[in-house]
Amino acid sequence: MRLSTTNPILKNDLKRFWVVGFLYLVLIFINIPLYMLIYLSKGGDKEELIFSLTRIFSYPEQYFVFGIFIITLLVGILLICEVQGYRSSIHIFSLPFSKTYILISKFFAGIVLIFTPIFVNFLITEVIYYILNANELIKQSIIINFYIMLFLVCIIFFLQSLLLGIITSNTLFQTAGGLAINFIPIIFVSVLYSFLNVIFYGLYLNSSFEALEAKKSLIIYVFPLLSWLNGKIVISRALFIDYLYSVLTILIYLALTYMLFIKRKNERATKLIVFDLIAEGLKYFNSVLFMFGVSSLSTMIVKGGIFTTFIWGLIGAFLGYYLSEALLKRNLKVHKELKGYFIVVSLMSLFLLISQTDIIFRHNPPKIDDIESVCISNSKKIIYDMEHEFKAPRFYITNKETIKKIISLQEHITSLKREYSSSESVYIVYKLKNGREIKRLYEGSFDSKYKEYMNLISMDEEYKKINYNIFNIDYNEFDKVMIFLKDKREIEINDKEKIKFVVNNLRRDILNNNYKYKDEIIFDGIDKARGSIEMYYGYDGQQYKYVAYVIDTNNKWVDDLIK
Amino acid sequence: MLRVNGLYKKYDDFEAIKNVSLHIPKGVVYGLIGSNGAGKTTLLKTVTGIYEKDRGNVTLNEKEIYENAEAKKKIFFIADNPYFYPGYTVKDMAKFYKSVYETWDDNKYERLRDIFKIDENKKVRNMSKGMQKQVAIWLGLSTNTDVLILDEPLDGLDAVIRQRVKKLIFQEVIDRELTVLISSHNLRELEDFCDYVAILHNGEVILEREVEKLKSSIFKVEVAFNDGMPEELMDRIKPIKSVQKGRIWVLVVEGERSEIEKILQSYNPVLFDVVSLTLEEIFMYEMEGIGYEIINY
Repeated sequence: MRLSTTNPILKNDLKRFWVVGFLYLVLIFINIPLYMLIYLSKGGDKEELIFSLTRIFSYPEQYFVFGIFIITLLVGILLICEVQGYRSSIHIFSLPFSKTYILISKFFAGIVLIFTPIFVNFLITEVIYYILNANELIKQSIIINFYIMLFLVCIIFFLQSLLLGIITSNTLFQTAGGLAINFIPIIFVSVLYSFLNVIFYGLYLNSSFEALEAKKSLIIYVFPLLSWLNGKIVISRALFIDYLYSVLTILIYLALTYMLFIKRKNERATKLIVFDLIAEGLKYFNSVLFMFGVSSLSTMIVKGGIFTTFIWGLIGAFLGYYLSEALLKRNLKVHKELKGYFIVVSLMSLFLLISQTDIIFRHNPPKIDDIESVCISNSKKIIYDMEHEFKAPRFYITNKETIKKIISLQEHITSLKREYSSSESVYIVYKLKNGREIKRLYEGSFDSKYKEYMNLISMDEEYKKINYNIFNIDYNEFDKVMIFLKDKREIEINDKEKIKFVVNNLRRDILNNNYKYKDEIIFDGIDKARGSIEMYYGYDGQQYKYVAYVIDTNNKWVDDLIK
Repeated sequence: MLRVNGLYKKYDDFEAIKNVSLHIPKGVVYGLIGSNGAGKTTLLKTVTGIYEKDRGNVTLNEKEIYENAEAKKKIFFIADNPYFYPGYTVKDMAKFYKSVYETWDDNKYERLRDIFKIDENKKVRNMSKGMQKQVAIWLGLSTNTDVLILDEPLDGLDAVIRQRVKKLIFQEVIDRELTVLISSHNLRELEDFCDYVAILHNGEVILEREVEKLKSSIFKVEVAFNDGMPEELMDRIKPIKSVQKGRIWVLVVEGERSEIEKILQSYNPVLFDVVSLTLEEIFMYEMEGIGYEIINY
């Protein structure tokens, strides 16, 4: 196989589409080396320069990210359109090349169009870096990481585009699909969670998209656009795992693209969706997506019960199915072909019936005699940390009286008319004697009786351990403590013994009720406080995690430290 | 050389090609005739290796064509509506094909440029359909492949150009034994051009013949006798078709011409005339004979 410059397809594609590569080069140049050059030639405060330069590589502007995505999508569209059109596909498949050869040629043409602009910009950046002595302002590794990861992420976008171009023959569909493939997962997960939350009040799902981003899950790299736009993928700080997942994602897309391209029948090249199975799947997927979406939306707007949700779900499912069918058939008269819709509706009805029993979801709290211990929190940050930072609660309430109050609290919350808001959250984990665990998360606007229950529960010592992160971290794990006083004084503590002193005193104050502010509301009441304290731990080679507290006038031990 | 054996090709539930077998020897012009939707284009695309067959074999020199770059190097396909890259001139397309086909012949390309008299620096997509077809044939011949497959190549060309194209292709067949597979819905168009002809109807080959043999073996006889048609004569010559117009009988007969003439003369006809048939007439009669009554090609 000729893959060098003698490859006629590759050569021809480069000849036809080099302009896109040039556009790509300009886009990167304007946003990276040129900005770098402007900042360095302006000079100024060193800290500010470090910040600005780091920002270029760590948090590029959203329009830049989006521009990169669009151009990469375009590269895929332009390269694959030859196998989509009726005449062009007949032409290329009549030439003496195997399908594998055609696909590999197209892939490498894309690689050249993407790699060359990135590499040229990398060289320009390096020249600027050395000529203007930027080594004291920004690490070389940040720049290298940025360009390598930019290349890898662009290959992912490009392969997404290529894959979609093999599935559909329509450029508009391919473009829309390129966007959808990156946004649909989060939309689907969101509407699914929202729907399940309506059906199962109190259901706790700990695998939200944000959690996946925090965990650096592979799925984030499979659909990287949103996370990059949100600044969740910081490609200049790539670690081994980022590289690994990016390469894995590329391999997954490559394998899928190859498999589908080989299976793709050339005579179906002009179909809107080339594969019948995918077209069928798309109809069901859209039907379910619309069902979840419309029913969830109805709970926010109409605020009805399960029956209302069901009716709106039917409407949503119909909309999704009908629109997909009409689009695929390119005909609005498809009302006689709604067999799939009735399948979706039947399954939904069955699911809703089952959901109202305790078969798959227990709606009421367990019996007190079955409970070994309980964890409870109404702080969103603590709930998040417990689930994602510490993976599981470290402390549980064993006091029978407090547990009874928690059960009453849960019964009270579920008896209230449901308000679809997340202004307040209550997270409860029951550890049962049979070893099972029941997790519930209630969100809404609760009444004053709820506050009374919470006040009573919060007096429990174990409740405090659960709800102040300082109990979850060993004092040995803290590397540094910073005290910021209102009179602008800053005290840095690195001594392990002093850190231990701070941790022990803070813990004692909390348990003795001398401390009334929780982690998340550090700024709430800061005007009445003496200052704040930040305790750093868990350095991952790039940054620290920290817990922060307000220093109250009750915290007498602080005086010993700042003397 | 080019062989199709028991070929089947389906589009979803529609069977476009059913059990088609063809044998196309080296250095012949093979015509494929059929009405619109008969399956000609599907058959040509499957033979070229554009479409994958469902069943059967399509081989060139005993080697499967589909997904076989080596076999496909020997074939050039000209579609009914040929494709050219946007913005490409004839020269650009020639450069592209030169890089694709090792057999590309620069001299031939230049010679044909003088024959077609088309500006090679002009963008092909800006040309008329007829000119685009000529460009495709020009480029196709310049690739110098062993096999040329053409889908309705003469459609949209004026009579002069049509003859010129036929002549050019024919010259290649004579000079270097080019094998040509050509489709048309017009039998008359291929009459003076093909060595073999096959008729495709509803995805099936209903007739395949060598044209010269066919022409010499089927003819029309107009004959009249004083005492009417002798009864045993019909049994002896077994006409494909017989029509009586007053005392005159018009018979379409298949067989050795001199032999048939001898038999007829032995009955002392008062009128006796032998007329050669056009290819179209021959096929009409043959197809009537096998049950395809009205075919309007």
